[in-house]
Amino acid sequence: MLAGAEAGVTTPERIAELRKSMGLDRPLYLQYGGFIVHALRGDLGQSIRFQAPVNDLIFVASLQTFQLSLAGMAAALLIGIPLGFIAGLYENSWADSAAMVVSLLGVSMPLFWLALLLILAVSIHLQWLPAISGGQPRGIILPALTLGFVAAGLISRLMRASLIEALRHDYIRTALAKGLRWRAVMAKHALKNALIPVITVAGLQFGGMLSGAVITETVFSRPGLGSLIVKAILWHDYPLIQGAVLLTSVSYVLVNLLIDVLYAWIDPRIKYA
Amino acid sequence: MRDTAAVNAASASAAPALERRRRWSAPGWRALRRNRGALAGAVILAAWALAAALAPHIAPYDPIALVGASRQPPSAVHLMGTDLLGRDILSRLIFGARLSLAIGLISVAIGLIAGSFTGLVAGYYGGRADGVLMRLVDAMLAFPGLLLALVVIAALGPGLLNVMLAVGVSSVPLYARLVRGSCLTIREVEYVQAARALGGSDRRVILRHIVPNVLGPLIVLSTLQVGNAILVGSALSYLGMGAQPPTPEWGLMTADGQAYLAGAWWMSTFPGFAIFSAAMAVNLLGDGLRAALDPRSISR
Repeated sequence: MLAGAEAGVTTPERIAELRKSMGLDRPLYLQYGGFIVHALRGDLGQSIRFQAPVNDLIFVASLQTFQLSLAGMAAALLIGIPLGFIAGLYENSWADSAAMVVSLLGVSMPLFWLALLLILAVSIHLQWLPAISGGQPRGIILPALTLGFVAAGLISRLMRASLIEALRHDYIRTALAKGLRWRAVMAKHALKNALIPVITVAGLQFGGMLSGAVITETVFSRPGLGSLIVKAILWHDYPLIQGAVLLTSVSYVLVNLLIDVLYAWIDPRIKYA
Repeated sequence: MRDTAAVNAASASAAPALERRRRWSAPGWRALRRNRGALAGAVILAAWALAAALAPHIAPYDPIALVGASRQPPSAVHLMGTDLLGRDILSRLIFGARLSLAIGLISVAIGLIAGSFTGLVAGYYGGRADGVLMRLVDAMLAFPGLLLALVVIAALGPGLLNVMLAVGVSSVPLYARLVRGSCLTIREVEYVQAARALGGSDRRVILRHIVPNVLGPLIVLSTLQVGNAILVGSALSYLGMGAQPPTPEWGLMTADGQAYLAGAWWMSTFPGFAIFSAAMAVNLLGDGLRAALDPRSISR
């Protein structure tokens, strides 16, 4: 926001007027107190840059981020569960090594670099998908792969460990001994039991995607909460930063709480006192 | 999300450490040396450290000077090509190693010192201090990963020093919880009670009993956190909140090349690979340390 934008010249009077209208002339504790009181009433104030209510801006952005997180989670599960399942069934096989490599890459690759490599390979060389995901549904594929990659590594590793653990149980031996087909036992008994810890971790990863979205949305120039926070910080738009960060961390905490509750529902053996 | 994995991993090795003190015992050390992944990680890391230390002597060009034409592809003259302004990318990568390693080490030192101290006070003395400190830590944990660092940058402004501070501060909860957990367990163990009953001072109990017990998991967590700090630090610079031009920082260099990805792939690919290789080396070493310091995994 430029003080002289309308009149062409910046006068001390105009600056004073702006400071007053934005409440910047009041002491800090009053400004912060005011923010808290309004926030509790559900009003996060006005964005300095956009001259629009922060509520509206972050609501629109959060829908985009939610969509991206869902797509990212889908990508993580679609890669992680089958990879981890095969790796657990056939220890020390190619799938086992692949799962190890994916999880090592997941924790070591900078997300922005992974995104650029995907753009370079898929958008520039193969020309299969757009590099900038403006509007088209296909545009979400590359961002989702980027965002889901870290979680895919963790999920595959956990799926593997959890399946190996499940296979040791007596109910697997019983099921096989009474003549059930191997495939049926693996799909029904082993997979189902092995999935329980995976679901929890996947849920926690879903919360973590909110922070991954900061990078992913910026690289692919997608509108969303993550890229909005980055822009707001670079523009020094403090009301917008506060609002966007507040919404992100509240969603993060709520998602984690929801997972805890869901966990007890999925696995009746767990009870909270 | 990476952080929680690191904590779980580190605390997994905390429990057995109670039973017997086995910090740098021979089997652990041998397991580390036999671990090919850890060895590879150590070698890559040593190479980057050497590059950082000898940067002015081994870099072919000045990292900030314009030494060639704009966006030259890799060639014998410029092994990794030149960037938009005609600076030698290889030389910039070599000097960039200094920044990335510094970000990794300094921010981990900040988190380690502040977090361990917080955890020690909360876990050892307990009571009201514990309540207040842990609620603060819980509040910090409400921000997922990168977001906490972003909030700190938003308050302090962009810059490399602030990046170190931001990354360090955002890892405080991890250390605080790890150290507090260990303190709570060890405080009740009989030999600690005995040491106290014999009149051992707090200082003695902390230094002789608590520190040795928590050292193993702390080493593992800190190593893994160096990798995370390199990633988060470069991400902040990529977003424009860390190093400012013309600093040869890897994340910033990756961002610089992004607009020219189609015509000059080398501008982003090499700096990104540098970040990846350094972070992977640290993670491999950390995984190896974890295996070596965790007695249960030695027999495997």
